[in-house]
Amino acid sequence: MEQQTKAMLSIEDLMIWYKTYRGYAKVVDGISLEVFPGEKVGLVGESGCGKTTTMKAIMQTLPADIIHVPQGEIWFEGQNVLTMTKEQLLKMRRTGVSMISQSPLSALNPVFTVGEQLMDIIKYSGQYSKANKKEMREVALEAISSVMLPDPERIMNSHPHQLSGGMRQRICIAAALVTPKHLLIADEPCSALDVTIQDQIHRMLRVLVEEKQRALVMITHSLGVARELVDRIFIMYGGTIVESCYISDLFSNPSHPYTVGLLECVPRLTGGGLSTGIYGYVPDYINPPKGCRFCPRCSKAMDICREQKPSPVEIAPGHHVACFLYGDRAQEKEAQNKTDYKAHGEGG
Amino acid sequence: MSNEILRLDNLKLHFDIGKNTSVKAVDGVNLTVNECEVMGLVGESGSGKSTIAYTLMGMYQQTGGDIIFDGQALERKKPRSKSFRRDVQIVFQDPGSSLNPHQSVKEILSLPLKVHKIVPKNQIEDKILEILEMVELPPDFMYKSPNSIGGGERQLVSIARALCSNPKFIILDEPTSSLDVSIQAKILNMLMKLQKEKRLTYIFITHDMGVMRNVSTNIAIMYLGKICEIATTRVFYESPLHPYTQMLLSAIPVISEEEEALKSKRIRSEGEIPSSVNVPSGCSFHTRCVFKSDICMKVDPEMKEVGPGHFVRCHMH
Amino acid sequence: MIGVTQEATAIAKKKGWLSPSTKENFRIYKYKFTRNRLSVFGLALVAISLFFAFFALQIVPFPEHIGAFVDHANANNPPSAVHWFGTDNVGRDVFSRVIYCFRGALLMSIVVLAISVPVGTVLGLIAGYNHGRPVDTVIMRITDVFLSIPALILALSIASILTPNMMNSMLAVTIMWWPWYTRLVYTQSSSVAKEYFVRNAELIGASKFHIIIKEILPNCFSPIFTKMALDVGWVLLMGAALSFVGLGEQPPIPAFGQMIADGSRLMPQNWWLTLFPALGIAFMILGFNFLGDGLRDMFDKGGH
Repeated sequence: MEQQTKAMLSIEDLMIWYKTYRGYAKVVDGISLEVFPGEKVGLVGESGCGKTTTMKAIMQTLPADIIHVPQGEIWFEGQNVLTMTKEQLLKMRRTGVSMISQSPLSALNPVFTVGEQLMDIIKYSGQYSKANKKEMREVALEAISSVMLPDPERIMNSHPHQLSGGMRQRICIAAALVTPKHLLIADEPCSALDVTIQDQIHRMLRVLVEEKQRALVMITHSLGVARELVDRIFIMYGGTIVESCYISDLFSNPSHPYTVGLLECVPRLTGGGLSTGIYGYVPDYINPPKGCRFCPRCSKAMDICREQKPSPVEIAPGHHVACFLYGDRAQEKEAQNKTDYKAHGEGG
Repeated sequence: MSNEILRLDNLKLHFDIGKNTSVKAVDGVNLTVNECEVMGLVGESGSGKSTIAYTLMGMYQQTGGDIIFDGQALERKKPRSKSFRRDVQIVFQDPGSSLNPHQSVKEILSLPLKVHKIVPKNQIEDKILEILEMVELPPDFMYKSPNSIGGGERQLVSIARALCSNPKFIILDEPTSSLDVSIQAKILNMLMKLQKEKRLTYIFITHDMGVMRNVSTNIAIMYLGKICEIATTRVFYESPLHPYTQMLLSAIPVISEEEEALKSKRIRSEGEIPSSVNVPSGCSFHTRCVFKSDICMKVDPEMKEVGPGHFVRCHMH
Repeated sequence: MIGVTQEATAIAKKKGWLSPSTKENFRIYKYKFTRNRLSVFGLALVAISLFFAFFALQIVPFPEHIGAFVDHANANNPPSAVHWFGTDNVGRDVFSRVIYCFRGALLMSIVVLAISVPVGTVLGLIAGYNHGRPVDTVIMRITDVFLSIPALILALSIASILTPNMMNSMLAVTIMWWPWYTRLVYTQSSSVAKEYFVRNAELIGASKFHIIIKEILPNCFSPIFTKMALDVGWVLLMGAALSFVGLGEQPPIPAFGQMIADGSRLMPQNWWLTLFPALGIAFMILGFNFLGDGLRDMFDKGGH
């Protein structure tokens, strides 16, 4: 029971800075998140909010020469990823975490057949004895048919460029799921694909992840995709997590002003016109706002938002919001808000 | 109709790629666009929606059929006339590649002003400022390079460039598909505001059905170089008839129950769009259609009018 | 509305806005260039080479030793405090002569590139923009013919048909150098021509001249500059090869290849006659190669 509730992946107050010619770009600014075994988690945010950087940090695939991690820890199955030796890291990549990248074209090597690449992955996972080629081949064939690709034998012997984008991404998923790794990180796996293919792959991914009891971290910019795929969601803005909750809470009770704005921006199939969008642009990471990073764009910003960083407040079970509108200071804020509103009303 | 501005009459564009094989990128498209209308063109990649736009602009020579713009058929062999180049503009999808990274915004915007002699040379700077104001960009953008501004701002500069020559008709080729939703909303609003103010006609190409619902007046849906269904926006979303339309709608990730209700319960997305080199016989959609019967594999259905302004190309209707 | 515009014009016309972005770009370039210490080292070597070339006569200890000069008493001296690089078989100071060689080598590189780069670039631009049309085929096939002949052999034959002197060796190297730029610019410009901003300029109805010069050419600068910096080294190597076989600068004016050729006859006893001119060549080539690498990093789009 103890084991069950323990998070398999936990990030604690992680900061990641990039070296640039102007100084450090503080791209990830103290994020904390937890992923439990068998859970499907979504990391949602707009481009440049640090979601891919965070996930690359877990895999330790960031370019080491321009990275600076001033604070924070990443724990994966009881080990701190940031202090791992090379061997431990290699072991984690081979047996612990798998990743599906955004571009299925560059994820596969064009000079080897799909079969050869799958076999390599199976070989390095160390689950099968090296001599047992036949068995590994069986496993690879099974993996290809599990992602609903017709004629696995033919696909094993084809090169990536002979397959369509959708088929390639299916192969990437097969490769990610072929070995019994515990955590699957999917970085916008379908953003380059057509909507009908995207739908099929998402449905399949969901079934496979549930079937194999993997934990899934889905990185996406689409709230719709998150709604269909994940149980719990983290909304990222400007290198911070602004809201985290169960997926149903997000749509019934969005709380952070950014989340609310983001939801309004999504054009609906039912019509109802366009929203005006969120005012302003993503912050400059080299000189970020001193307090809450969203406050220059926030319509409800208060004085305190410009001065201090908000810490997450639990407003309902499992629903955390990093905003001064909530928590201990909420009432205080409300009063201030009202006066603000009044002032505005009189002014206008 | 009296106020029709563009008509495509059985437009065909085939690329020869070897002996006796050709890609039928556009294969017999009939489409009418009226003034001040936003015609949405939806389809998956490889459906030929962008090819139609490029053919209209004269980047490709059509294999057959006619393009009638403003009551005049465009000549097939000749380059487009100067007045056409002024009246019709295009905004491309990729804001990274549509602005020259080695020019300032001022240089970029002054090209159409110079070529079409919109204003005398000494007033170019003022005109640029006026256009920047139109798209709500601050005046200091004049001296910025496209590399130093964000994707949304770049797309605004592209739109500003299209507005320079006071066009009547703008083709928007996926103008927001590479942008974030919060910026997308801003750009779409801007486009719709300009459309109303300047009485522009748009062809709006996108694969995003959510965007389409909120911007277009009419929608045409394309599959493998052919149009399968044309309808006004409301009809299109509330009672889609073609199985492909229904499949597309069902595939969209949505964020509310009301939207979920619009999706077809019977159809789920299956299969992939076939290569346009080997277009399936009969109805080209039959390989992915759940309702297919024998006739679909043999006979290509004709376009039928099933309601006012609602056309479907399907044997079931 | 008009009032707003005029006000905005007044603000925008202040040149103030131009400089920050230019300064910014300059800072980015400087950061990218200096990130690799070797490029700074290369820049220093190049600066020293330039200094030697310009002020050779002023800085060398024995300027009169550069030309025809005979001092049999001091012939064949090994390196010493007076003659740092020793003296040759007629008693001339090798150090003075090596420093003077920088001038000829640099002059050769500059002249060759100054002619072959514009010619190659223009042809490459025309071929690249008209990708797939007959003019492309004609230009590129001629280029291919030149590229298919081994460069050194072509230069050797041209230089040997003509009178052997500095001018003709430059001419020979120039004739075989431009096709590389045509190739380079062709590849770059035909890919730039596919970009949407070029298509847009075409659709607007801009002239071909505008499209080639204003839209495409600026996007070809960075590979051209990088290749130029790397090529200075190669051209002077080629020049040294020509002068080694006696087809470059004629005695008594010294040149690297000629000095090495003369010295090699007295190897290995009088090693300094060969070693120091060779080091001179290495000095320049290293400098320009490191500089070229630095320029490549500088123009590289990625990175911070």
